[in-house]
Amino acid sequence: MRAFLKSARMTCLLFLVLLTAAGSMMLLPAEAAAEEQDGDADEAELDTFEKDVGQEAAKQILEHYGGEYKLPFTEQLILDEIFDRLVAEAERTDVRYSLTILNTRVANAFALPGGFVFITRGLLNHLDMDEQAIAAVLGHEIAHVEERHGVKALARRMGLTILVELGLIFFNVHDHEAIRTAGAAMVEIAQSGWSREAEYEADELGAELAVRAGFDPMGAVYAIDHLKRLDRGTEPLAWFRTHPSDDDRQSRLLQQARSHWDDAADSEAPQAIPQGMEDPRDRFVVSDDDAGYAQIYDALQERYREWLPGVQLLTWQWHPEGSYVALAGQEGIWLLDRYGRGETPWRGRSDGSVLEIAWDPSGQRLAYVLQSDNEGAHQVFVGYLHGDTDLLIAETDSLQQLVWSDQGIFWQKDDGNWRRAGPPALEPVVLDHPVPRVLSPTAAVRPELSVEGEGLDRTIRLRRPPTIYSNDK
Amino acid sequence: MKQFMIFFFLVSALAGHAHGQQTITDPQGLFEFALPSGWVFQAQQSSDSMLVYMNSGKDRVFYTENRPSRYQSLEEAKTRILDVYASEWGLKEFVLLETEADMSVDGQDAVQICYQYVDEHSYTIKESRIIVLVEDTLVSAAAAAAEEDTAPSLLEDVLESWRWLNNAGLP
Repeated sequence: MRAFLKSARMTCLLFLVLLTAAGSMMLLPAEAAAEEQDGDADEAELDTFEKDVGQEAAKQILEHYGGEYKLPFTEQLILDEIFDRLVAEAERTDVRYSLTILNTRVANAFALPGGFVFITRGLLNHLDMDEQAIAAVLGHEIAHVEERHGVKALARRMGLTILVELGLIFFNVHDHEAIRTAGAAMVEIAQSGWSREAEYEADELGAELAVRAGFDPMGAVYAIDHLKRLDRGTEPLAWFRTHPSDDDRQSRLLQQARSHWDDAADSEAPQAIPQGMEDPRDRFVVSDDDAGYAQIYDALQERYREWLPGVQLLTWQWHPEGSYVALAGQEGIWLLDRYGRGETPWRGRSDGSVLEIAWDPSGQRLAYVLQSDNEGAHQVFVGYLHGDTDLLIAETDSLQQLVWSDQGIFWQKDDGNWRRAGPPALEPVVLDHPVPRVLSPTAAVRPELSVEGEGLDRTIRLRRPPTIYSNDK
Repeated sequence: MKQFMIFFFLVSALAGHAHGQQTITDPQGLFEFALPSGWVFQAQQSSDSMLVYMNSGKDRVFYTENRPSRYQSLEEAKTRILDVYASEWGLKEFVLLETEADMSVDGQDAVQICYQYVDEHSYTIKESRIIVLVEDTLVSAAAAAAEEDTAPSLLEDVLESWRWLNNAGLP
């Protein structure tokens, strides 16, 4: 028995060495072959261990979070498509990934050993079904599994002694109590978060998975922006407690996102230059008056409208579909909807003047050129409409014109020459086999009634239902 | 082009209204159909690819939807749609009542499915839906009613007036 335990201890230690050693061991050929064979067996045993612990922890997580949440099916199809594309890029073939939505408003996501990935209803709600942000979060969680962070953290948490006991399972002695203990520890770890190093590692690999699956590496930066904003509210955001959210993390992700852009290079002129200063729906005419203030003429109602009073315009560009107009003033860029709503700047840029703006052809991102006050270089930034952090993609000593076409971002310098920087190729989520939405007639005609207080203090509120869809938005 | 379509859509609707029915033109220019008066356009829920009408005072809805798709056949589309509706994250208490594969809508092959489900307010909804493939677009029109069996007849009435427009690329 003592020999057996010693053997188990050795095996476990070997596993830990295998887990933590980054490089390969220097062995003689014969020893290496034998070690490789043992290693394969160990790997298989470790996979079973991971799966068993993950399965047990998944069971506990489901119970803890009130079970599984069912999305409307169109949203479920989109989520599946995002997840499947990410999983297709994962390298571990021994893991069968699954995604479960937890029925809680707490915003969180985590992954368990064995490929069990969870995202909460609350987090999906906060991310507003944005595919780039969701891909970033799911890619990050898949990366934890790819890197075996769960088992590594478990080893650290439970210590070698207990792991040695658990090592019994490596010899096919299925100790359910041990698995349950390990599962409970795993749940704690998943809820409290991995180490900072593991999070950085998952950020990096997650963004790579996202890029390979056709998503924007900026999705991760954008997701953090999104959650940072919500963190200032009252909603519980567990994802922040369990994930480092400092600027360092975002700056690493920005660097990584930048590395996926083509470096700026000399180029031919773009094939087509969008006429972004004109409303694509031909209703509003934006101009600036003699003093440089915005002047908006409504051709339908034949009258002038007052948008952004007191703001001196530098330039403006209409969204490709006319849904928004981006206006640059001395203090930044305003994003107004097509009826002029949007009082706060999309980007406050008091550190310079925004000289040019360009929409990406899909209308989800804006590129702009900032010239700093001290006549410094012109910087070309790109930002998401609903994000707060922009990516610096190039610097140039002069600039006349900025264009974003299907071929990338182009800018013309004072000497007339063009330069171009290309974004990573994005593949939008398109459901090849869509399912028509189903609308419930009852929701639309039955407004929600709520009664507060009693007697004369009673307030009755009649609220229009937010949607008439019974299973879709 | 878009302005023209919206204009055409509004003019068509107003012109039809005078005769006790509204002629509705798909903003994407694929089809048009007539609805009896009493059906109210739901601007908030509608978009270029989706038109929604409610029957005022009654729990009835009629809506059309166009979605890009890569279905190879109507049969494939029907199977997939029914699978999803009946799946665990589909429609609650879904029951397929009837399917009709051998039918046409203004000369175009179509599939009709009738089913019921229980909505979030615990009403039993009966819905009748046609599915048509127009090149790479899945066109669907559905009539639904709560606690009554009027959906199939409404859909039938609408289909009688249904016309494919030139933009549909049909022969």
